[in-house]
Amino acid sequence: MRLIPVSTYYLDLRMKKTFIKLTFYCFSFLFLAGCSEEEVLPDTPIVGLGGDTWAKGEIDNYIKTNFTDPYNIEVKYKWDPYEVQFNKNLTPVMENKVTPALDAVLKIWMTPYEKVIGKSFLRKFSPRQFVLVGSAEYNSDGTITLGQAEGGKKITLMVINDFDKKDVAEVKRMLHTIHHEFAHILHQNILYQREFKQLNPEWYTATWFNSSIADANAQGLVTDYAKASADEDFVETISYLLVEGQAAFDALVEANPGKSATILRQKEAMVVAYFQNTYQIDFRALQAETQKGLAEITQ
Amino acid sequence: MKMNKILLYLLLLTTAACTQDNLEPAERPDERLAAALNDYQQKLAGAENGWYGYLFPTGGGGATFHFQFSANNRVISYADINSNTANNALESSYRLKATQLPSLYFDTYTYLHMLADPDPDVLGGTQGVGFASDFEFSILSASDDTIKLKGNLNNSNLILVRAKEANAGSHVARAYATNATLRRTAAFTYYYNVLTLGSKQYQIAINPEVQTISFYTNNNGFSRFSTPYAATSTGILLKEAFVDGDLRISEFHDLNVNTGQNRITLTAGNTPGSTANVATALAIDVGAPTRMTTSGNYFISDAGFTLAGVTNAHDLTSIPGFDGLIYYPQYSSGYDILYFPFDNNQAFLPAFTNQINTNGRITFRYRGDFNDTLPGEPHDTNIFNTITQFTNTGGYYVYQTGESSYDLVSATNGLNWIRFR
Repeated sequence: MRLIPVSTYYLDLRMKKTFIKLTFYCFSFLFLAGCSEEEVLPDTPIVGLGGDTWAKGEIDNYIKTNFTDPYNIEVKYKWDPYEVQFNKNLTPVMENKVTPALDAVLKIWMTPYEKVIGKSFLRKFSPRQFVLVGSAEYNSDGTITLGQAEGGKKITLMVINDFDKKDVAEVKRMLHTIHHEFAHILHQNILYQREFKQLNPEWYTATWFNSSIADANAQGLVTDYAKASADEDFVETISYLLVEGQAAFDALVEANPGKSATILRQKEAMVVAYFQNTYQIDFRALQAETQKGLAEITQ
Repeated sequence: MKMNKILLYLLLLTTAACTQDNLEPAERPDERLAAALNDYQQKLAGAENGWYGYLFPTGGGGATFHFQFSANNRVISYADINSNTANNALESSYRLKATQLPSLYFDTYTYLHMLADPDPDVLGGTQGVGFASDFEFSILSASDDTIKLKGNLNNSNLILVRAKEANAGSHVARAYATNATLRRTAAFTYYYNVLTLGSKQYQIAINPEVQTISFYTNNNGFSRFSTPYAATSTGILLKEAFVDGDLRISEFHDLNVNTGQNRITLTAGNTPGSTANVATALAIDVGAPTRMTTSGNYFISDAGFTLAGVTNAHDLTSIPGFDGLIYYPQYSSGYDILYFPFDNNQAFLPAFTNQINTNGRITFRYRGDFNDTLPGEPHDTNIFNTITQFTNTGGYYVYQTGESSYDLVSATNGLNWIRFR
């Protein structure tokens, strides 16, 4: 029917004939449509729609009971190439490492928050998906990636196959990642104090990896990665205070006297105030619970 | 007239429109896909004795597996990687997934993943890559007794063969024993083994370290064929068949190694064959020395020279912290080096010049040291014995046994050789 206005531009005889022809074409089109009217929508199920399925086992039940049902968190422990860097050589997890690693996540990250502020807080703010990878991700510059987070929605935990709950440094490394990423979610919802960004803006750099941790400490930052930006600085400070503990933080301050000590103390105070004022979380209590969880897992 | 034409058009078009009904496909793609996945699932889980798996990673070598797939996404594995994996079953999970081609995912860790593990502490290989192996495979073809698959990431080849015997798990333990049998060939007196198969003769080299077999001949000029193999319960399966005229070898079975007689006996298809251990070469690869020294690679020998069937003849492995002798051609300023590691990251680095003559011989001359710290006696003597052998003025013939692995065989004495990978 769209053709009618076109033909009105040209009213000579020849065009009129064309118009008639076109009208017939339109007719035949209608015939065609008329013939296909009997078609019914296919009811074949689409393969893989709604995600992969498999016979559920012990690990699946553990995840459902401890993560999915109470918090609406999905934990992907079976290999899915579309959740990771597709061009890297990685491996899936060993099944016997999954529950111990998730236990640590539960006890050292979730339980402390739940005890201090309650379940509904975690339900509201926690990332929706954990992806577990067995190996580390090897980068072309010789470094390896141990964990990743995407926009507060997904956290990828790597090197699960090396997880050993007796290895305190390894447990801390993994939980540091989770607390780090969760703190990002918190400040993305309500921003931290503006003054925080002005404490040491001179050290923020995209090439943070050229500094050693000792350099960063001497400049008033808890880790080298804290130099990446004010956001990273803020969440690294939180993660350090929670996972490494107050004693480690105090020792760090003591080892870097002068201006950096002052800055570190200011950051600490801002973190405590931020948790209290924005989320009504007693940070000291959260710190104590995190340490308790860490001691419990690694005992 | 014109009206007739128009009517004709109308008739034609309406008829054409209605014939569309006849073109409807019998089955929708989703139905066919679901049917294919279901068929593969039936094949995998339906084999009551499970499947033998022969994996050829892109990084080289071959590995043998036994998989018992169950209908509930579980798989029990054995592998000929080491004695633990060959004798103890490990359960993990698998699933079939509709990707570009229907794929088989080994989706939690099992022995198969060791070859793909990017951490070299697991099994070796290259850091970040491992042996460039796979654990998600596209199914290329499937019959009732053979399934051919290709790795989705690194293009490794996996062949599944339906197990016919009961207690098929012990197949892998026997394959593991085959590997051990093949390693015994290093104790043969001479380097050269000539395989007689029907009317044909080939000089062969079996390299158990990189799991390759090589055939060398001198008919109408030198020719070489090397391919990775995977062990079977009675022999080896070649990744690529060796073809020479009407002879086509894709596997050897009934393989036995007799160290007393320095002899390998085997059967290819229905043709029995055996090797003779001889002092001189059947075929010389004149191009190999140049290929080796200009490849840009360095090469590792796990235990130095083999002399008259004595492996590790200079007892290099007793040097504390020794983890392989490295030969690095054109290391610096025109010099080759040997690299003798010891203790904590220390090494002795003697320098050499090499000379290659037109007969395919390479000779080395000792020119001093890039680093002259030594581990101390008795190891120093062993190191210098190695250097003395290496710089033997008779020189070496070179045989390529894989993508970047070479054997150096004394050109004047077929008893003495060294294997680099």
